[in-house]
Amino acid sequence: MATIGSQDKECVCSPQAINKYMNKISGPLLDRIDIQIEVTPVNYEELDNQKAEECSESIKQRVNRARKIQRNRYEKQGIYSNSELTPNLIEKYCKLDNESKKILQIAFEKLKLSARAYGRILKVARTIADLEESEHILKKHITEAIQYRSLDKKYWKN
Amino acid sequence: MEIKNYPKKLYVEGNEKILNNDSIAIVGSRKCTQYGWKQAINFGKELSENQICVISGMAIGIDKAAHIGAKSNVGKTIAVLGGGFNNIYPEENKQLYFEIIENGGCIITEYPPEEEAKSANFPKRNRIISGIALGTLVIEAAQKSGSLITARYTKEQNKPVFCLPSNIGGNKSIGTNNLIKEGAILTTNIEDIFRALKIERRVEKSKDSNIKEAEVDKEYESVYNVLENMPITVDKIVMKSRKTIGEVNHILTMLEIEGKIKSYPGNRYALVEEDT
Repeated sequence: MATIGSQDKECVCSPQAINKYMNKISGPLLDRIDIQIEVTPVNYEELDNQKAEECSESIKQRVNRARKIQRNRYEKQGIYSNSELTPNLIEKYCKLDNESKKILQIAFEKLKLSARAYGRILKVARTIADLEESEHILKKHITEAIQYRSLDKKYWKN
Repeated sequence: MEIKNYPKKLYVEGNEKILNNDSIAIVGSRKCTQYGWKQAINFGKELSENQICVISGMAIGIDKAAHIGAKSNVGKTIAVLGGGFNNIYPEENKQLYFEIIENGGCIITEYPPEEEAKSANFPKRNRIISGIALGTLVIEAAQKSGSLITARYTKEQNKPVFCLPSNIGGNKSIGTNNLIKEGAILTTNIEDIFRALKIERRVEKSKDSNIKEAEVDKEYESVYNVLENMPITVDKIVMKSRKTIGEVNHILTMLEIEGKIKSYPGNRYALVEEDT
């Protein structure tokens, strides 16, 4: 499993084994994980490569601003962050315009996302919008959030 | 049939007439690479378009791709099973089984309907695959694999073995590259097969119709243009497109739901090609 999807090493498991493994971690457990991102091994040259990256200090400020926005927004609800939103509150605070609704619907059909992923995507999209200090959830926030459900898509089935 | 140890009985479902048509076997790894999958579809399709029936073993991977490429074209396809009709294996290919029959192909087996798909049966059924075919094309095979058994039967039956070359380094290339060293015909297009078998091409090569410029929204071009046929990681896409990860993720989702790109394990993306 460690090498499936890797570019440098070939995975040596049988297709049945891969499927079995994928099925083991998908489903109910995976549905409860808000953000799923696959990371690929980094080789030494890339580690050594000094690219301009956002430093932790500025990320921290961004996160703090987003947390503050959320704290203020949910003051009367008795919760602190987007992750605590209940289905009712999601409906109230994660409103989408028609275009975004449409895209989310198509994405569900095309990418075969699970129904349980719906609320998670909205909450993550709300957070992305907060990080950008955007009052409304825009189309690009929704589409970015969809990317973070990568393990929901059923891979590797020829 | 003119093979050693020929089956005493053959069970057939579907259009048995095509059993006497000119045919080529396509076999290869169950766990093929994207490259192998795509080539198996291409070869299956082109052979079938030229009225050559494509024979394989209805396993997953290369077998499946070859059947898919061939099934709906004039040459049709034949699947040779390692079990009886009541025990279709693998389960996920049941759909393919019916599609092969519906499209005028056929399924054969030497085993009675109740026979289970035992692993010992599979190497044996390979002699039938090569036995019906005029020659065998191997696409990706590990050092020890069923495909090499089919290649051996093919040689024993005095028929040509064709091999698609693969990059060295991968374990799916060892078997095929060794076959080439041992004298199999290095095959990069169906011309190579036709030349060896002295068969005439029966349809004109289609003018590269798949080089179509896909219509892509201007807004998404920056990302679309850095994508290739081979999957690349999102990190690379970010680097090459000079967009932020957020923008890239947005565009990738849009392109994916528009069906223009496809995601692969390992957070990688590639352009969508026809039939894949």
